[in-house]
Amino acid sequence: MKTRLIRVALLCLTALGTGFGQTPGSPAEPQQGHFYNLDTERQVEGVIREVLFEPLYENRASFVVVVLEENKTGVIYRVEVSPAWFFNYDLHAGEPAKVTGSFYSKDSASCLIARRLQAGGETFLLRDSRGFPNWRGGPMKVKGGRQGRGI
Amino acid sequence: MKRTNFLLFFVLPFGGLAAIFFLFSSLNRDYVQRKVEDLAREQLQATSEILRVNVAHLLDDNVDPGKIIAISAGEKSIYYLALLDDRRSILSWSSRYEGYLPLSSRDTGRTQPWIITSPVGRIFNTITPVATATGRAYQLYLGYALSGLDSLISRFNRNFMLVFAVLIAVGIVFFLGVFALQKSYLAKTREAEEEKEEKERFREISGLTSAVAHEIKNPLNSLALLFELLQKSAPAGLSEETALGKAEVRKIADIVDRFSNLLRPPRPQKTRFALREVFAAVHESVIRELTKPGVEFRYRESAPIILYADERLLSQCFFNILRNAREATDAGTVTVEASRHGRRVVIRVRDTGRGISAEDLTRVFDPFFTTKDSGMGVGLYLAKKIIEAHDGRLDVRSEPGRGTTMTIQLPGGEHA
Repeated sequence: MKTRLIRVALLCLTALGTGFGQTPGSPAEPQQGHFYNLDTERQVEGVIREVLFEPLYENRASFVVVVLEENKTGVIYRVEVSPAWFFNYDLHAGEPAKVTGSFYSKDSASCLIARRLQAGGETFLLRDSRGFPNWRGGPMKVKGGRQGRGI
Repeated sequence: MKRTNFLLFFVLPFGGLAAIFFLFSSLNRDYVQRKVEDLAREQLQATSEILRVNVAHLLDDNVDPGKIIAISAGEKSIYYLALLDDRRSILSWSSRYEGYLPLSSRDTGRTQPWIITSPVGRIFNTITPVATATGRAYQLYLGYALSGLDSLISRFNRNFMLVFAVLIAVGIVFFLGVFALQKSYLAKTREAEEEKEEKERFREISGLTSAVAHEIKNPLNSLALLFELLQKSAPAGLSEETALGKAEVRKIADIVDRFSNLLRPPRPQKTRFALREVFAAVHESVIRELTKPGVEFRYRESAPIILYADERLLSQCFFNILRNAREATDAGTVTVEASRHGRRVVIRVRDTGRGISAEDLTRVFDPFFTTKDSGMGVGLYLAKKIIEAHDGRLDVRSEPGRGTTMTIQLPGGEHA
């Protein structure tokens, strides 16, 4: 009963909120998982061992995930890059890469959410300084799919 | 109008008005923006409060933090939401954008709302303490979209700029219009003053000439009578000389008469006549007076032209102009080209003669101005008077060594 009341209250809140808060573009489903934690940002330089495509977020396009071996320590990182449609540069195993991103560990594996990726002589800006994804708005809004390139 | 006056009376007041409008609008805009932000802040606080109460109830019911966030994050304006424990560790979170939760350790201690900018607009952030019935302490981190407010402000700014631009454009057009009107008014005033001065001068010259003519003619009449008497009583050997003297006196009287008639203000008595015929007659007269075998005369008409004007006065005017053209041309042509544009007739008398220097060109219509050894310098002056008496215009263009063109514009042109 109490939960139902809370749901009604939240519905009222939704009606109230339409005045000032309108989400640009199509409303997206709230996402959970690991977030870009500014406190754990670090830079890792290594060699790409594998390139994967994984559905990291619910109801979202598959992400490019890079398995990167750090040069100094040999630690293997799973680097979450961006949706595959946004990142259309071909990464190859054995290619050196440098990643700036937010670190977290999952099932004793070291993971990074990439903000900046340097590979093949190019720099890809994937998120802004606070971790906002540069592919905001989906493929229809980000024309060309290579918004991170060109530095 | 002088540049300084234009600046003082047009640009400066208009600039001042625009600046006042800009200042007033900017203050008003800031005020509106502040008010709207206050409103948004109040709404955010109300939203946080509702969420806080709901989340506290759900925590009392031992609902899983993940589920609490999933229930609470449904509202469109909430960009992200996180539940933190008493050690400020994130228990559960949710975001509309993949992995985006801009909460760092620097922010967890905040007690006041703060705004961050993102590519999707400004986001209001707040951390609200949540306490359960059992006394457990939590924190609720909320990111609330201000995109509606941003679009409202940007629309306001856009409208303001539009109104300002329209105001500037209207002002510029208005002031340019006023400036043009004033300029034309000043030009007309100057023209009227010049005309008045000219009339005054003409009246003076005319008066003086009449007086001189009167003074000369009185003794001339006496002299004529004296010669008459002399002729009757003179010895036979002197009759021829007295007759010659009488003829010379009559000649002087004729000159004085002609001169005083010339300087009377022309009053046109209009009739209809063919322009070609008048020019033909005038040309004959000019040839009789000034024989120059090397000068060819040409007359061209776009179509036969009938003119409603004073034939006698215009004949006199054309005679003076043609004679001047012929005098200035030693060998070459004097061409008359006439055309009609509606009721306006344009006649160009072009010669290939010596031309007039730039200095003399400004004075050719002045009375008694002449560059010739003989002549009184009234021909062109009278020609201009006659044309102006017909509400027409007489202009001159000349190039020394290449010739002169007199352009006559007259109303009263008709179909033949």
